[in-house]
Formats: sequence, structure tokens, C-alpha cells
Amino acid sequence: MKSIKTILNGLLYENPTFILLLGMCPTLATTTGVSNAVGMGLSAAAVLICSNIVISLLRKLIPSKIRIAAYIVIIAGFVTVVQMALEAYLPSLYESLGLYIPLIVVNCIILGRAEAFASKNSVWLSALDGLGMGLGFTCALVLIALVREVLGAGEILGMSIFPEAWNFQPASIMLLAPGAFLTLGVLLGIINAVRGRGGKKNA
Amino acid sequence: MKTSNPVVLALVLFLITAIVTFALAFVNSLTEPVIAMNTEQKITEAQQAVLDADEFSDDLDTANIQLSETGVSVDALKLGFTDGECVGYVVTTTCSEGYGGDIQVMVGINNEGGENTVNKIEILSLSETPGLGANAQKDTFKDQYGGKEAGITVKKGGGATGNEIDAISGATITSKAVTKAVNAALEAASGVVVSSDFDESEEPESVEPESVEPESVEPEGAEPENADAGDAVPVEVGEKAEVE
Repeated sequence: MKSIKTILNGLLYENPTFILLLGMCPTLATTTGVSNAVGMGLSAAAVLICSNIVISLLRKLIPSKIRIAAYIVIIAGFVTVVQMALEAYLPSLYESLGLYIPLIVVNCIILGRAEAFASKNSVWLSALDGLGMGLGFTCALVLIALVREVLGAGEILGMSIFPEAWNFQPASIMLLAPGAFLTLGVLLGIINAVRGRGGKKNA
Repeated sequence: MKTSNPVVLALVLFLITAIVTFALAFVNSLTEPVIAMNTEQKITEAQQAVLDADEFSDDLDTANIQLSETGVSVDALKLGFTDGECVGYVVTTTCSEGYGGDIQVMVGINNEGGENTVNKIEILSLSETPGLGANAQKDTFKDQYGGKEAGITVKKGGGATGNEIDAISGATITSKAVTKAVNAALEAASGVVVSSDFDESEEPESVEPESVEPESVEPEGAEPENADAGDAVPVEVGEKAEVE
């Protein structure tokens, strides 16, 4: 029961992007297309799960005075592994994500979960927390990317979705930085409106 | 663990770092050959796509190539042969003036009777905005370069004629950067003298791209005439002869 709750927590109630508002930099930068968003989300999720497991395993061994340094070394190690694996086996994704893979190191979701969850909970729960948060992050990125790619390029995963007869003119601004802010803002507004209603009922 | 003994702290951190380092070294030893193979395969496929030739030479020394413009560099230059005849060049250039950074382009150049025209181009790497600049990878854009000669210009808003290409809508910077890379490739190729094809009368053609550049300080048209016209493929790259 607690396991399911932990996963749902990351996916919904404490969604890192829409509720905690963590990791905004990759959220804004890599959501130009759905394939990039999936790649970024899953890479971050992989790092998150691995680092949560290792940090949870070592939680009794790492002195609290140097814990942040130790976490960063562990996280950076996993990020580099992911980076090398992507470059070797998924070179096209590696190229389009570019700089944002190394930046997973400083993605505050990962350090945040290490500090807030993995350092206090069992390995099993930490792994599930990583999974839930990672999937929550991935879903959020895909949602933003979907909006941006459809409106900005008229495509999903690089395939045109509008019939030619409609003569759909994509709004390029949605693919540029302002489009990321617009999409994120509108989605956050919608989510807050929905949550606000639910909240009032509870209160 | 609660300790504030600095020796213990340092030791623990050192241990963690050392373990991570060894793990990374191990993963690197697995992925490095795959990465190198990917890169090589990509280049081989690309060069066969951009130039119709049976064989390709090794990379020529490009250190001496002087380009008339900045922001672009020549990474590699190869010759393509069909039946032992040099039919053209494959030049890889990088233009750093893309919207999202470097754009690496491989240009296949046909050499017919001493005149260089673009056969096909291939974008090796770019990090442009998807849906805008990244459209440079689409064939509709790349195919425009076919048959063009040095000094290609970019036309905004469609209707390109002659030696112009249509800019990608919304991505003029990308279009210009790719064009610059292609022009640089043509310029680099024009400096290559393949003796079997060398023909004095063609020389003004091959140096034309530089002669229209007012900033160009390279002495032009001073290629040493090659007497061994029958030789198969002795090659000189990129030298504009030094004038004292």
C-alpha cells in the first residue's frame, strides 16, 4: 500500500514539475519535441532511480557533514554513465539533448529527492520514489512537449498530424523559449484550478 | 553516521569518489569503441550519400587551408575516385554561426572540367530548434544546394533563382550558417590541385570565390603549374602559393 502511495505521490500529488516546480531548466529547454521530452524524462528517471537506491543504501555510512558532496558525486557518476550509454547506443537522441544531459547533475529534483527522501527511507521505497518522481517528470515534460510540438510545428514525433487541406500554419513561437513559458504557465494554471476545486471540498 | 573527524570525512568522500571513478572508467571502456564505430559509420554513409564515387581517399592535410571568412573551419577533405579518376571532393566544414551553435556539414563536390559544383550536402550535426532550424536536415532544403557553385547566397521569402537558395522560413540564421559552411567547402576544394585534372585555363574559375571577397588578403591564382599532368593523383591542398 505504501509502495503504491509512494509512486502516485511522484506522479500526481507531488509531481516534480507541476506541483513542486523543480527542475525548470530542462523542463523549459528540452520540451521542443515529444521525442526529446521522452528522452530527457527517461534519462532523468534512470539517474533518479539509481541515485536514490545507492544513496539509500549508503544513508547510514555517509557522514551528514559531507552528504551533499557525496550525493553530487554519486549523481554525477550516474549521469555520466547515462551520457556515455546514450552517445553509444542512441546517438541521435544524444545529439538533440546535447548540453542538458550533463545538466541532469544539477537537476534539483534529483538532489532534492536524495536529500528529502532517499536519505531517510528504505532502499525499496527510495527506488519507488525515484520511479514515481521520474515518471512524473517524464509525463509532465511529454505533456508540455505535446502542446508545443502540435502548435509550433503541427507534428507529433516528427509526423504531420494536420491534413494538408486545413493549411495549418504552425506558430513557431511555441517552439522557441517564450512558447515554453506560455505552455508551462497555462498548464500550471489549469492544474491549479483543478486542484483548487478539489482542495475546497476537503477543507 | 555522525562524525566530525575531518580525517574520516575526507576518507569517506575519497572512497566514494574513487569507486565512482572506477565505475566510470569501466563504463567508458565499454562505450568508447561503440561511439568511435558510430562516428566512423556515420561519416562513411554520409560521404557515399553526397558524392557518387567508388573510392575515397584518406583525409588530406587541411591545416594549410586559409578561408576568406571567419566563423567557419574545414574539418576534413577527401577526394572521390571513379575508375581511378578524381571525380570530386568530400569536404566537411563546421560553421559556428548557427542559431544553436555549431553546424557541421559534409559537402560532396563534383569536379567536371575543373569546375566545382555541389553535388549533395549532408548535415552531420546541428543543434538547431526543432521545427525551425532543424528543418535544415530535410531534403527539401538540402537538395537546393545541388548544382550550385561557389558564392551561394541565401534568399528570404522564397523565389530563389540562379545561385541562390531559399531560406528556411523562420530560420534565416540557420540557412545562412549552412550556406556559409557549403561556400567554405567549395572554397577549400578550389584550393586543391589534382594534377591529372589540372588545366591552366580553368584556374580563374577555381579561385573566383576568393576574388570577390574584398577582405581576402590571400594572393590568388598563383598555384604552381604542375608539369606532371599525367600523374594519377598527386595532390596539394589549400596552398595559396607564398608570395614574398
